[in-house]
Amino acid sequence: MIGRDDVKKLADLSRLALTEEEIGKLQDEITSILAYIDTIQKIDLPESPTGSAYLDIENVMREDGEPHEAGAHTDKLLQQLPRREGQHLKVKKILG
Amino acid sequence: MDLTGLSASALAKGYRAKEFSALEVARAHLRSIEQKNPELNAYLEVFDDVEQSAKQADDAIAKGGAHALAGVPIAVKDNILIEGKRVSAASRMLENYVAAYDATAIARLKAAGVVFFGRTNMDEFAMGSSTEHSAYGPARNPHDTSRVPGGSSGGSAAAVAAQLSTVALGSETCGSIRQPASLCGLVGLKPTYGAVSRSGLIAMGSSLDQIGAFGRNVTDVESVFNVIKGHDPLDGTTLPDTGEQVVSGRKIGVPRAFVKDANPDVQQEFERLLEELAAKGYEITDIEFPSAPFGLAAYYIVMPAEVSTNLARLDGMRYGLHRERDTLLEEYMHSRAEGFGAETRRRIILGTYVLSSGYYDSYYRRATALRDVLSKDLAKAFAEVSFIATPTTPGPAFKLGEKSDPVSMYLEDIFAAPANLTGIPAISVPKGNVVRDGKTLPVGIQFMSPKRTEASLFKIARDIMDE
Repeated sequence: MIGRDDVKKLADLSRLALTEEEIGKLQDEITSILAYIDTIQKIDLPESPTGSAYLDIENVMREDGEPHEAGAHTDKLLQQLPRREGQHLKVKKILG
Repeated sequence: MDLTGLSASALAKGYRAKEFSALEVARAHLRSIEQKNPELNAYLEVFDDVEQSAKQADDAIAKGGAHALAGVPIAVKDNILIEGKRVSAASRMLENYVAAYDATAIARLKAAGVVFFGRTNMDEFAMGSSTEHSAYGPARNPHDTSRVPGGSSGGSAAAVAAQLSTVALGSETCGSIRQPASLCGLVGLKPTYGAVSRSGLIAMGSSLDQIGAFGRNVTDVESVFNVIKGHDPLDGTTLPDTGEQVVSGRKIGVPRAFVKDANPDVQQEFERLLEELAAKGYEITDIEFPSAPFGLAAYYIVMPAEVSTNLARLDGMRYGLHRERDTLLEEYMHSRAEGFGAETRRRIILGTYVLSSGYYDSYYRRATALRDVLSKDLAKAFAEVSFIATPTTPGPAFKLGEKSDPVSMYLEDIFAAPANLTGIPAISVPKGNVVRDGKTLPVGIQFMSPKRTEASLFKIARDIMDE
């Protein structure tokens, strides 16, 4: 059983502003989902997993270099900013 | 002639024999969309340049040397980027987001000259099995509009099943192509992890996500897969191009203990199809797959963990929904709370929980260990058999609102989980039918095979479809 305060804490960590009603609903839902997920505790698993046999991939490196011309995408990306000032993203002040 | 019912290969032939043009085919589809989409809600947007790109395809075909898919209509799930088009992942969060570049799969299809019809409905950020979690209303199943088309790629499936497109792109994190293919009576492929680039796919669970295709026959799905697959420097998890790989035998393994989770009549249809395969020269044998029933539980640890991480970037600052508040923190919290729907919030919270200090060992670590055990069980099985078969889904399409409890919805993907967690390819083939409330509804049979052996999946799928 997950507590109401736990859900509040998780919502804060997840940066989600939830209403009291939403927190209550999530408390029930997360509890029932965890009950299902906990079936994984019933299977014997190796103590130390061998790593990522399932992925079977390696780290991929590339040479340093310019992937594209400087500024090639800047305008398109700036157009998506909800608040901007010239070429800058504008956010609320965080230091007093 | 009904141009909307033709396969991609029939279209290619017709274009070259000058029986009809890509523009005529595009217009026929646009008329169908106008008639049927208001009820089905399969497309969230139909592009305004459909006729223009059909004309371009006609020109390319007239010149000669055009790709076989030139002029073929394709619908695209609303989480795959097409430069200059909106892409919302069916979320309020990205309602007005415009893609700044093409996904690699899209760039390759563009080069082939396909005609992009529009972006299709889906569960928000690909989280769900019914499209009921779309912020823009649910899509409906063309076989019975009181039922869901499945999800999360439900709009793509509904569009192809209702002949509003010839083929469609979807994406899978766990069953999101195969399950809607099963519920809508289509062929749906989940490729090997790394076979298709994820560049330009809006991320959900990065160790699981893969783009795949829907079609009304096997060859159409294969044609799309052959265009979109292949190594891509923009996705470090794409596999090197080592050429086609095939399985050697015709032995099909059936994990009986796992399959019993399907509805009784779905199991009967499954057994009937196995008999058909046996009559066609396949050998059917029972196999052990003891870890399989635990796959879905592991998935509901790994996926939310990756979701909570991937979706952290959506904070209403650089793009997406933004809510003005007194402080920066409040702006994050309210932009996210209003931008995300209930299921998305649920999975973010769940992911944050399983990754919390103190719970890591009992959840994420165990889930990762289970992925290894699944892989080992599969390696053992594939040493004996070439394919593993199960029903694709436990049941046929369900009614809208029927699975309002999250866990009952999650169980839709019980047979899908092993392939996603281990990266092997799987295909759903529409060869079964069951009856619900007097209506005949399709159900699929699923085949899995070792990594990179999609060619063998297409072969067995063609055998059972008599294609």
